[in-house]
Amino acid sequence: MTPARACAAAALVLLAAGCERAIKPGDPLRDLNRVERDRFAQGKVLFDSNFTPATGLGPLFNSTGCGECHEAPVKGGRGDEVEVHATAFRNAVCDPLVAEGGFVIQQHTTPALKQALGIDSEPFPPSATARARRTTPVVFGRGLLDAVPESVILAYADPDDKNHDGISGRPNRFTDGRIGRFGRKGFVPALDEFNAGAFSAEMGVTNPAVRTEETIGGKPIPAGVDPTADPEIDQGQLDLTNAFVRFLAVPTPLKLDRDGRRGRELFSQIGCVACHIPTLRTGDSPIAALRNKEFPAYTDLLLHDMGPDLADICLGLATPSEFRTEPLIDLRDAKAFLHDGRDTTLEQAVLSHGGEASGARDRFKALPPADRAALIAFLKSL
Amino acid sequence: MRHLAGVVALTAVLLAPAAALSAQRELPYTYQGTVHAVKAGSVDIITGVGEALRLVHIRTQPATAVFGEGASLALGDLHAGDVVRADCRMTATGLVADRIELKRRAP
Repeated sequence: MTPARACAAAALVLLAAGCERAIKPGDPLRDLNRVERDRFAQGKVLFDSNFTPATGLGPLFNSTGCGECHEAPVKGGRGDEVEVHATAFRNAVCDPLVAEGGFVIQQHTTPALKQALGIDSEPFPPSATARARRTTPVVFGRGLLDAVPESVILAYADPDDKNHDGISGRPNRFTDGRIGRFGRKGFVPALDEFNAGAFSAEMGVTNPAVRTEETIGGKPIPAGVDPTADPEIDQGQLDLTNAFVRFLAVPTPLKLDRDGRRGRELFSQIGCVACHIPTLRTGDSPIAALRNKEFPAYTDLLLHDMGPDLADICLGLATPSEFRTEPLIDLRDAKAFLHDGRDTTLEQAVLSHGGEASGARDRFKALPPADRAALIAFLKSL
Repeated sequence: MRHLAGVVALTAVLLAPAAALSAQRELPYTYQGTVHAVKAGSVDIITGVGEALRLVHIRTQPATAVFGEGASLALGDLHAGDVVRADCRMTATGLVADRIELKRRAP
């Protein structure tokens, strides 16, 4: 190849790389094969379908379908619904109140359950020591987060703060001892398990992984109230829904202007990246589009003490004040911030950080107004 | 290991319904979960899938082997929050544990 041709070829490669289409919220991962793209499309239909009592809804539920909550700006995104969780924290042990119906308190009942028991929602568990509000997060990039090896998560953990940076992340663990990563408390170990559990806990839809309905505050479902045979969806439907969620990509961060680039530098300089690790790398995966991929995650998937002002429930090993570092994904479309949606601006959300994040918060507060605005501009690019 | 444990947990849930079980066949079940309560002759374990958690009531017998931390244990040595693995049989009167292994102590 002549030098001129080599230069032309290199220019074409660079042009192609620079012109790679940006991934929008709700887009699938790049590099899916045709079968995977088909499954993504079919799964999206299921994700966006609504259940009725005749097709398995309830008798307790928070919503009639996945897409009813995960809806903005597109399916798989955020929602304005806020649900209620409750647990009991006694003698440093967390009780998820399974004997009283579990920690997700369903806010709706089917007409048949209402007729039988006269209730509009699941009774609040009397043994609870705390109540939490939970907003609906995006599920973009969850397949990538699922494919991050545990060894990567553990490499960021520093439970005894041996490096004396004031940050002491540790993993949460599920009931069976496995390392968790999903949910605001990082309790659930795997994406397909989170989804199967959500069919049950959020919609009252039994499935091959969760074959029994939840109790009504610990008491059996009255006879005749839930006539649909269990499981109420089959493995194929569960697998397709999992495929849609697993294959949702992380939206490409917006192109940064000079202020945004300055904000990105400040995000690192003031210490936000100690927990909001900018990129994570997946490990091996049978799905090529998930295999050995670096992606913008802005999380370490670990629990951090966020201070008493944010504290609510315990869950697993997580104490009331510990939360898993929230992945900063599609922040540009967020209207409410933090696990309970208490803040309506990013600036408020940064200032609400406490505990291990107090140092970074205080450094943010000390920035000149222009630098604070630059950091917020960077966050709005995500 | 994570996947193996996941398969074990999911298998336990998949196998959970026992309505059609005949009294003659005592099928083996394995549960790994968090101890919710220990009473004389029984232990309740929290298992589940994702945020859908369930309580499993397991009876013990004098012959039930309880062990962990390199030693034999008494049932009363288990406490709420401990993670255990229970190998059980489904009998006509419910689950009976043959072996309970302490996997991780409560914090």
